[in-house]
Amino acid sequence: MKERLFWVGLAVAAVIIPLLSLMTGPAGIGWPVGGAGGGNPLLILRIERLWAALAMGAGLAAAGVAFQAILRNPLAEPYVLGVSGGASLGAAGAMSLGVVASFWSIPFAAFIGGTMTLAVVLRLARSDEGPPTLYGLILSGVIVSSVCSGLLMFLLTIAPSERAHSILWWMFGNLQMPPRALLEVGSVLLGLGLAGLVLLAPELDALTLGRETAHYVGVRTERLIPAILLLATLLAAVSVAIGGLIGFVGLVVPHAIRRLAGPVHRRLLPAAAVAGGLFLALSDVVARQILAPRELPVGVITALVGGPFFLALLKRRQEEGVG
Amino acid sequence: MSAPWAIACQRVEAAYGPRTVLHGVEWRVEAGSICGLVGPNGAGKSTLFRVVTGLRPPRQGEVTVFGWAIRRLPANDRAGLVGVVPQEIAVPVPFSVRQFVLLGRTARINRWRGPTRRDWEAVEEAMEWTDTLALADRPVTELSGGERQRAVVAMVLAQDPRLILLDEPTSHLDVQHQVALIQIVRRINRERGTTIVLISHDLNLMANVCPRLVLMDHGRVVADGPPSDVLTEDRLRQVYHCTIRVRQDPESGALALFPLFA
Repeated sequence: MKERLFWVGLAVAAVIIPLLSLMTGPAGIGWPVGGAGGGNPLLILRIERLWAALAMGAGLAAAGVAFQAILRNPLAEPYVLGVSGGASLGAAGAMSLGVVASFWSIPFAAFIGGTMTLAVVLRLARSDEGPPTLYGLILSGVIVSSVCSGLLMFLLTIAPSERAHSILWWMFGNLQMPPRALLEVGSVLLGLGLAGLVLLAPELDALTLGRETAHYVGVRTERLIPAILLLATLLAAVSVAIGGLIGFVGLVVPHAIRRLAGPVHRRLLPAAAVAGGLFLALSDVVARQILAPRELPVGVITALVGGPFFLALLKRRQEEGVG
Repeated sequence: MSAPWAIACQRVEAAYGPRTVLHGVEWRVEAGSICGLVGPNGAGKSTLFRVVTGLRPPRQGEVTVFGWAIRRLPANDRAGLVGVVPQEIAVPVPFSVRQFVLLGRTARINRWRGPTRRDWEAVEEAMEWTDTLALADRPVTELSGGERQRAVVAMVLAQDPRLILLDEPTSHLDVQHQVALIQIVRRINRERGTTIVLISHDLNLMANVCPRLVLMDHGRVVADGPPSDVLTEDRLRQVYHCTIRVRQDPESGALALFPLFA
């Protein structure tokens, strides 16, 4: 019953939030009117912006679901793990080198950056006995993240000023006008990554019980764990390539959806992807309206929601005495 | 058709780094039987389990399960042969008992279409056998120790392997729940013909549940046979370094073991 209610609510939100997003902007609230030349450039602009929010939010939320399952850590999330930071460093590196000609290169560079940071974080967090602990993982993620942002600032300083400006703008977490080709390439990659994870849903379910139990019920853990980590990193990296550094979507959304739709990944993953897109689209509406006509970067909104949420989860874990 | 040996270990050696924990273990378990594995902490019982399930590669020697080299089997075939009830399963997310039991079907679930009616039937049957039907919609995270252990057994039943290894399945249970769990396990053995291997520190329980016991110490098999032959006072003193009395209940014939705290 609760679950049915949730799906109905999600469907309603999937109608209302996009409409809201199309109807708001610095030009005021209302359906954008066509231009004199017959076309409707404002509407197209808003559609692309909505598209970017939906794609990126879906990618981040699905990545969060997968990271939480594999690392068995409720706080695992692309931003907290440093994957987003590494991906943004990779993407910014590609931009500062001026390789923006092909829109495959930015997601690709972001993926390389994200994969490398994840490898470093997992390596740092690894304890002698068994899997990384809750705190080890967060601590390594935070540290690697700050190293990445240091390198990013270095890149910004040495990059030619017009490139530095576009990197900076993108880095803030911004859904304003990612290039159309990047959106298309990114959406295809996100769709493939998400489909891959949904097909691995039975294994993801089993892996929440740990590597050993998953092995016993017939999961080829030595291949599947790296494969799932790579898919999740791909989703996070492509999201970062589309809209920059936006935190906590992969934390807030999976937790809320797990409560409402249950922990079974076959339903959780698609639901979290849809809800993640809608959450980011709504945050973007708020970011556009709250100080209108000035705009806030959407990352500000998600951080203001997600930061306290993260702390509350951490607090609860501490009280439960889980390390 | 089926191989006579559910488990056949030949000269199995296993090590964690430089530390050798199994020294040439020879161990065979007849298909359809119940076999117990006892021995002090660090004797190598759990490592032997891990080798038999393919989780750890042996450094030397050969391990076959129903005649198959376990490390070379595809994961889903392996799941059809061996299932494990581990010492403890931490369930971090609130799966309902029904969803949890379905995890036993992981290797069989069609990833395109999801669980079929056959999968759900296996789940219902497993819950019926383990008396967990009434708990089907409860979150696993909220179950008591005894209920949770039955849910784990149900999961392995839904997996339906030909051999089930149980690692200390009763260590967190009171006597009533211990007896209930053992009855379920015996019924699985009797009616499904599933081979059962039990690890436990509870010598009383093992002596009276397993027709055959294997006693391990320092990575070696030191005795193998019926409980009354294996659990002698002399041998127990050698292995456990304390005095353990062994007596037989004149009415039921059950063995009773108790340490002396002198």
